[in-house]
Amino acid sequence: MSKIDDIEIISRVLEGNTDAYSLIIKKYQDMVFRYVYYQFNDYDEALDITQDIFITVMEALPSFRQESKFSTWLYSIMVNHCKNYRKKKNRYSLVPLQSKKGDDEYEIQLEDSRENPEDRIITEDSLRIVKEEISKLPDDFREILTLRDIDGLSYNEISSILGINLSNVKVRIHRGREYLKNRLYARGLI
Amino acid sequence: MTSFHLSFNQISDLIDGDVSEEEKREFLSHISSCSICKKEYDTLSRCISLVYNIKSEQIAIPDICSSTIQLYEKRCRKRMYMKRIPAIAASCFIVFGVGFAVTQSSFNDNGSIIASNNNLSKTEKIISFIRDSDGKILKMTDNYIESQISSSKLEKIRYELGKNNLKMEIFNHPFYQISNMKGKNYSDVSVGSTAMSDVKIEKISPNEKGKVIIRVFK
Repeated sequence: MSKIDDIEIISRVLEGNTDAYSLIIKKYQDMVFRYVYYQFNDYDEALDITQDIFITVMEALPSFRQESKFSTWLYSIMVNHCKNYRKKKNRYSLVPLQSKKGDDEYEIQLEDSRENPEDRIITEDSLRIVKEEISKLPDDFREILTLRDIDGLSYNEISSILGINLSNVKVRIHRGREYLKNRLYARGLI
Repeated sequence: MTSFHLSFNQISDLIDGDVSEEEKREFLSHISSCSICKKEYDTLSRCISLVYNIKSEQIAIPDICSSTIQLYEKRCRKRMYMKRIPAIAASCFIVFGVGFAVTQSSFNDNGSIIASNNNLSKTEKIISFIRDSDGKILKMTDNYIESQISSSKLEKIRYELGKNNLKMEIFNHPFYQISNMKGKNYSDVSVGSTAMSDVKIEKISPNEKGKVIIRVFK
């Protein structure tokens, strides 16, 4: 489906044919869901947020001025929605970052399996570890690495979606990668 | 091993292809001869590859089309309703406010609404007093209202009318003799005057038990 198709569908939706919007949802639901899922690492939560994002997009359709690709516009709404959701969630979250055991606090120790790195084939286990580590990344890094290294967006597209300049995009990608690389190295995955 | 090493940013840019052809040749040449940079390059490449590969994870996503559109329509309806609330509240306020201002109503002991005497016309006041005295209106003119009330209510209505500076005349009913304490007959008595305290109503017929005709002037 090309950009023109998206525009045609949007025109139909704006003319009052809300059912036409299901074509947009079908086309982009996988992309949106995966992005949200990698941000929050929770299936049910991701599903709810995905629905909310599509509703937000539908409400915002009249303001889509076709200055960028529809997908880029959708990405920017999606990223902002996740940011806002995270802020709201953190505001009301009472879960401590450190676990408590009796009166003594202790930090959850990372398993260091560097001694046995022979199996480097991508397995379910390695996927789980990567997902875990991605979910533990600082928000800015997780956001930009999802866009760049999972969704494969260009620097320019990321710059447009996040509303930051190209040099900042690059700096953030470098820092995020370095951070994640060190985490995966500590887990013996690389 | 060479005397310098590639920075992490340079290796990252190289993997992304965000370097010129000349830089690419130079960096790759260096990596091939520098074990440290080679290791760094391999590590980062693998890291990026692992991250990219989580995309291969099979995630069953249910069809959310119809539920999303239904949810959207539900929210639209809710929003429409929420938008109407201030208008509904304003309408209620106006209706009740105006109603209250017009009647300034209050409730009596029996729970029925009594109009405040303050804002009523004289005619309305007189009718109200007669009604409160269980009286029956017989005649209404521009100048007075004639009614039949129970003699037991006469004192009450006399007091109410006097309080509101309304004049009243009591007629000799065909079945009643109205006189003063000295026995003088009255054809009419002005209410509110001291003379009223001397009025004596005598029953003269059992057919119209305790009834008297009064004329209240506006």
